[in-house]
Amino acid sequence: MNETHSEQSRGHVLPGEGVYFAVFLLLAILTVAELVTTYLPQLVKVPILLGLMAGKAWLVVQFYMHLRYDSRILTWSFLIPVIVGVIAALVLQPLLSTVPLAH
Amino acid sequence: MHDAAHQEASIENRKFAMWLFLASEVMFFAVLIASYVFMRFKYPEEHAVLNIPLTSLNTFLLLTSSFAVVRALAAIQINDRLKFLRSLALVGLLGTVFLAIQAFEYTNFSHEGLTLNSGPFGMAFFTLTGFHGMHVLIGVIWAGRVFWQAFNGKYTQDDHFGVEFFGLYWHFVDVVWILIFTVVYLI
Repeated sequence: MNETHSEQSRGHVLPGEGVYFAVFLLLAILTVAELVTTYLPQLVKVPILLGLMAGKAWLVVQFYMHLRYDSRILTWSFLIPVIVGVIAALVLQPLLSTVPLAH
Repeated sequence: MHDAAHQEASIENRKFAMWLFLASEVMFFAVLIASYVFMRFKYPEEHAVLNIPLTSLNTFLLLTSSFAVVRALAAIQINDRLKFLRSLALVGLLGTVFLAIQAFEYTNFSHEGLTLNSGPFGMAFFTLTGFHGMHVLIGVIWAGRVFWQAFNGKYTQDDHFGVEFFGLYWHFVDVVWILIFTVVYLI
């Protein structure tokens, strides 16, 4: 893989176009896998789809947003709100059921 | 030497500020997605109207646009200005096509009776996807600005933080779409 390391003067090494393209291919394959998974029964497909979704998001954040190559403080400044966001989303479900909705 | 250290610290601070902004956006979209999930299971029949083939195309467009952003970044790092400009133009083009497809999708939904005012499901669906679309629109405008600056020779092999900064925003919009595509359309 033709990896052109650069930005070394700024204290971190970014990947080259080869790595970016490999990630793009992987994202495309995972998306096709998601579409195939939709034909599975609901009970099976939901955990698989959530896993594929998390994998794709992780690839973009790690390689395209360069979190893998940046300071740990950036990772945590993003990861903590993600964890809080997931907890908030789960806590909201029983709370929303108490809201009267117009039909 | 002192200037270089100061410039590097400034870039790191701006990058940190951008990540904090994106963290606030995570919370914003988490709540919108949570509201949608609740409505999705409360009104399961309305979900049937959603168009998976069309949004799959949109997913590939955004993934390709994200690749185009990092390709632009890789190009300016080796001073390949033509590839840099072409990649940036591709980002704007793909973002615009994404928005056009979303507008087409919204029009079809309105013909089938699904609108922002058609009920709680429509409200949750259009609020979530609409806010994401608004973020794409801002990204397209930003991409146009970065392209114009690049065309006028602003970015160089050693000074291209503006491209990386824009890239952080654009990839985040892509990540949110990855979540929306799965949670809203596939599940």
